[in-house]
Parts: sequence; structure tokens; C-alpha cells
Amino acid sequence: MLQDWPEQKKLLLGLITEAIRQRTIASAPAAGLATHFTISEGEKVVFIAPDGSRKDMEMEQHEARIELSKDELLTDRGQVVLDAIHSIGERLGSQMDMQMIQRLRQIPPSAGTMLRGDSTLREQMLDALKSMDVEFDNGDPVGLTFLASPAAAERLAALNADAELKTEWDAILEEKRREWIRRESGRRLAD
Amino acid sequence: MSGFVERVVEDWLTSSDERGYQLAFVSCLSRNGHTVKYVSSHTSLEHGKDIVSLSRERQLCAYQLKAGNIRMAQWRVIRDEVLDAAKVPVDMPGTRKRLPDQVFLVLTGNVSDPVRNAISLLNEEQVNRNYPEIQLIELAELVSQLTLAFESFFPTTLGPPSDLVRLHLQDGTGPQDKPLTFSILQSLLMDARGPAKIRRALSNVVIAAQFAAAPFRRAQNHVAEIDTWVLAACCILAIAKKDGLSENRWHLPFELCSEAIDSAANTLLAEVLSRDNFLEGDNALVDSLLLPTRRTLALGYAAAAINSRVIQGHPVRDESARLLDVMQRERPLGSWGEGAWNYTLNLALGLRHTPDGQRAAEGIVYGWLQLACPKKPPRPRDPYWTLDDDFSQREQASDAAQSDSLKVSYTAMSAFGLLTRRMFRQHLNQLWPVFSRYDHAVFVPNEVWASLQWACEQGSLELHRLPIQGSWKNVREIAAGQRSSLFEGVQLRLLPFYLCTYPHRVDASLAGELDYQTSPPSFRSEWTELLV
Repeated sequence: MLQDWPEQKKLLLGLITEAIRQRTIASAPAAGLATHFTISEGEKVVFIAPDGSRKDMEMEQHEARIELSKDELLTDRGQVVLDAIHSIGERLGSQMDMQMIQRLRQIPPSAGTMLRGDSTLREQMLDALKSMDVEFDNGDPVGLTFLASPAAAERLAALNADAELKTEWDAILEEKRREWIRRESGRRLAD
Repeated sequence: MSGFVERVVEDWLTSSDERGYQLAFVSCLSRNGHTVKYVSSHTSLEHGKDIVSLSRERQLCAYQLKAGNIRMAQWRVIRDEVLDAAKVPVDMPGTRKRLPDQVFLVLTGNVSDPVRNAISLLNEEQVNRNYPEIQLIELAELVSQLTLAFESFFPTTLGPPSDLVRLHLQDGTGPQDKPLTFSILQSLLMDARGPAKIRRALSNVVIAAQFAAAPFRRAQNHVAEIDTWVLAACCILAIAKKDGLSENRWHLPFELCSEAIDSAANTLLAEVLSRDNFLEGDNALVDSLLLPTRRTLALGYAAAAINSRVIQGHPVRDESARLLDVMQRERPLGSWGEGAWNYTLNLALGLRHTPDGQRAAEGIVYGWLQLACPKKPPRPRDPYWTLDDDFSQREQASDAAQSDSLKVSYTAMSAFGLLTRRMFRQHLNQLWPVFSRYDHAVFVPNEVWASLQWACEQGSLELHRLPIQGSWKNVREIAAGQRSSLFEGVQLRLLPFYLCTYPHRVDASLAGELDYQTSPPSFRSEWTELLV
């Protein structure tokens, strides 16, 4: 037998696992923008609101598989493993994004988070912003993200050049910021 | 397989002192149907008896344990003590005062021929005087008994025995492999059904634990020794609670584990309180980089020893005062994430038996609350982030730590509860704007006993969101309700060590229970007033 390094291999496996995880998050632009965290035990998450109401979220498993032949590993200088890490991460990230989009589609239109990409898109955007509770961090809004198809993204880009829309948008956002400050100033321990 | 196991067992026995195989021997007796009446933890029950048991045939048996070979010079020293074991009646609660029926000198070596002759002559006198003979259990017989136990662990599989042997062959200076150790111990209990099999399986856990702890005992690495025994105790309690076993089934193996923990913990405490510094190894340059982490661990486990003593009703004021002196000298402490909380918690609770210690403890907990819920990143890693993870990924830690964007804390609620119970309202009011922006996580297994397992697949991670405007009354109610029934009665002495060995079990109810159990009666009565 030729000398081996079992303990170092464990460390390397840990590094590979972490690299896949980071690639997964980087490859899920929609899910990556949403607030996220790592779960190490259990099969579901329960969100408990201040009023005691509970919302369960079951976790779904994502899988990605790659087979590397012994020949590839024998002749490779490390690129094959890196490519495999990237590929697995990208596939897992893509699955996460698909899952997120499917869940968004289950939200009823009345919740106001789904906009139709027609001629009323401009008004829908302003109405949606008015109805939302917006969080701020260092003066910047947090979590305001549009998830759009390529065609819808083009329409959004066109609206971006609309100076009047931008003025109205900024005014509503400033009002939201003041609302947030008023809300946050009430953060205290009362009797 | 049998030859290999015999050699491994022999190697273990010949490199152990008396206490290093005592518990395994006791467990062997239990496996063989003996009712163990007494086991000495430090010194012999008067008159040379380390172990007293009742055999299946109701014979009262006394054992004196020795390590190594016995030659004439040593025999002369121990002769009277061995004779006392045979001539002085056993006087214990629950048994009629009488001479033992059988007396054994147990050793992990052999007696020399002159000693054998001397014992033989002695036994002739014993018989004439109606005293029991001194019987020998030497190395070969001891190896044979323990090999039988080992072979019953894993009759057919190869994996777990090699893992167990690998644990035994460590040099003992590093940490115990806790997931692997728990998995091995738990596998011993998997097919145990029926009273006889359960008794044997629980005895096997103790034998395997003493075997796995041996390298750490040799290296005087008491932290890892404690971890091994805590895992064994938790294995035993898990099956006891899961299957609803009556206490008489699991009491002896649990008690053996607890005694081993106490022994290692008391030695560790004495060491921590007496050392000039906490450097280890022969390369101080490299070691200095690990010193903050070692300080946190050492002080945490030492404080756990104090806390366990408090739970058992012993005075601890002196040790607590000395621990404060040591803590003030040994700075800075290390924190690799929320996994450091249980050591910090134990330290805070262990310090508060003097006025200065009380103030230091409150400062420690308040400081932790600010660390766990910072206004801005970086935020500490979750409690599942281990020291191994930290050592191996330090270069990448700063990037990886921020990939979790949800503000979640597993430990802040524990610290908040502790300070609430001490009425730190103004301080907590200042922290509330930041504290309440975090979601507070607690893992809830489907069954309470499952927290004794190293990892739970079944359970929910609860994320509690707090209101913008909190209610002091509500917060006090929450703090008063932070109690746990995971450990009850005699099991409670295990709680401080459990938290050290399982750094990912950071449930506020466990922290609250430790706070309650280590508090004086006056504070406990105030506790219930919090609910009013």
C-alpha cells in the first residue's frame, strides 16, 4: 500500500462540500436574493409569528449527480473535480430557483406580489409598492426584488428609463422609509 | 477475529491503572447476572473491597483490583489489605452484615510463583479459621471475560469493531470523535430486547466506553474522557426514556458513567485551578494560536464540574472564587460561533457563588448577547459549526459566514432569559431594538429524549419572530418558562456536562434548567414569582 492521508482527505471533502454549497447559492439568483439560512437538523421549519400563529415549511430534497470515470480522474490535474463542483452547484441552484418560482406561483394574485406584464404594469408597480411593508438597512430598501421572465425583464428595463415613474417611485419609497423609521422607533420593551 | 480482539483487550488492560478497567469489570459482573452492591470511586470501601456484588446464586462476593504484576515485595505491602477483604464483614445498607462468601484479587498481570505459594499457604489458614479463600483473577481470565463481551458487541460485522479499535489507538491528546463514538455506542443497543439482553447491552456500553476513553485517560486528557462518558450516559438514558425502562434496569450503568464523569471532571477542575497557564505541547508558537479556544473549553468544562457539584448539593464557594481568578488571568477567550455558548453559559453559572463572580457572570452573559445579535455583520456561525470546521476553513470563514442572510440566533434567547430572570430590564430595553430584529431558532425533536442523540433527523426548526414592541411581562413569562424535563432526578448532575459535550444543543429551556438547578433556593422562589 502507498501512503495515504485520511485526515487530510476528510478536510478536503469538507472543503468540496462547502464549495458546492456556495456555488449552489451563487447559481440561484432568485433564491439567492431571498433571505436564506442553513439548517443542520430536522425535516421542516416552523415560522412562529409574534401573535403565535405558525406556518410550516417542509423541505424538499434537491439532487444532482455526476459520474467521473477513473480514467478522467487519473489523467486530470484537478480541473475535472472543479468542473464537477461547478456543475453540481449550478444544477442544485437551478432546482432551488425552480422550486421558488413554483411556490411564488401558488401565491394568489390578490396578495399583490404578482404583476401582469401588460400596459398597466407601471400602475401595478406603484400600487404594489404602496401596499408593501418595506424593510430598510442603512437607508436602503431590503428585499425589493423583481423576478421576471426575459420578455417581462425587457419591459421593466424600458420602464427604468421613465423619469416620471422614477420620481413617483422614489417618493413612495421615501414615505415607506419614514413609515419604517416610525415603526422601528417603537421597538422597545414596554410594560 | 477472536485472536485480534484478545490482543487489543490485553493491550488495553496492561496499559490501564485500576480505575482504567474497574467500570468495565463491574459491567462484566452485571452482564454475568451479578447484582453490584458497591463500587469504590476513589478509595476502597473500608477493608480492601473495591467492588461488592451478589452473584446469581446469592453469594456475597468482594473484589480488590490491582494493576500489573504482583511480586513478593508488592505482596508484602498489600497482604494485610487483601486479608481484610476476606476477614472483615461487609456492612452495607440493604445487606445483612456478614463475611463475604468469595473474595477475589483481580489484576491485569500475574502473580509470581512465590506469591502464588504464599497465597496458597494463606488460604489453608483461611479455611481453618472459616474465612473465605483468596481467589485470583489474573490477566488471562480477565482478557477472556472482556473478550467475550467485545465479541458479543459485533458478532458478524467488521466496521464498528475497527472503528472502536481506531478510537482506542488514538494518542489521546486530541478531541474525541463524538459522532463516531455515539454511533458505535448506540449500535450496541440496537437489537436489545428483553430484560437479559438489555442488561447485557447496557453493560456493553459501559465496557466499550471505558475502552474508548482509555487513550484519553492515559494522556490525562480529561475533557475528551468526560465527553466519552457523557456520550455513553446519554446513550443509556436515550434507550431508557425511549423504551420506558424502569430505573433499576439502567441505574447501575448510568451510575457507573456518572462516577467516571465526576472523577475526570474533578481532576480537570483541580488542574485548571492550579496551572500557571494553558499552553500545551512543545511548540508554544503554534499553540498560542489555539490558546483562546482551549481557554473557553477548559474553563467551560471546569465550570461544568462546579455546576454539577452544586446540583449534587456540595459547597463550591472556594472553587468558584478561584475559577474567577483563573478566568481573569486567562484572556482573551475564543469564540468560533454560537457553539461556544454552552461553555460560556457554564462558566457564567459557575462563577456566581461570590459577589465578584456574580458581577462577572452578568457581564459575560450581557457580552454574549451583543455578540450573538450584532447590529451589523459579521454574525457568529450557528452552533452546528464545529471547532474542526473552524480550524479547517478559517480562510474561507469570512465569506461563508455571510452567505446566510437571514438574521437568526440560536443562543440569544437563552442569554436574554438569564438576564430577564435577574431583572436587567433597562439593559435589555437598550438591546431590544437589535435583539427583536433577529429570528430566534430552536430545534425541537419529535420526541424529547431524541435530544440525547448526537443528531436528529426528525424534528422541526422553529423560528420565533418577536414583536416590534415587546412586553416586559411577556418576556418575564417566557424566561420563567425556560425549563426542561430532559434530565430528571439523579440524571440532573449530567446536565452541565451534556451541554459541554453537545455544543449544538443550545435550547433556551436547557439553559434555563441549568440556571434553575444551580441557583440557591431564594432565587428559585423568585423564579416562580416571575410567572405571577
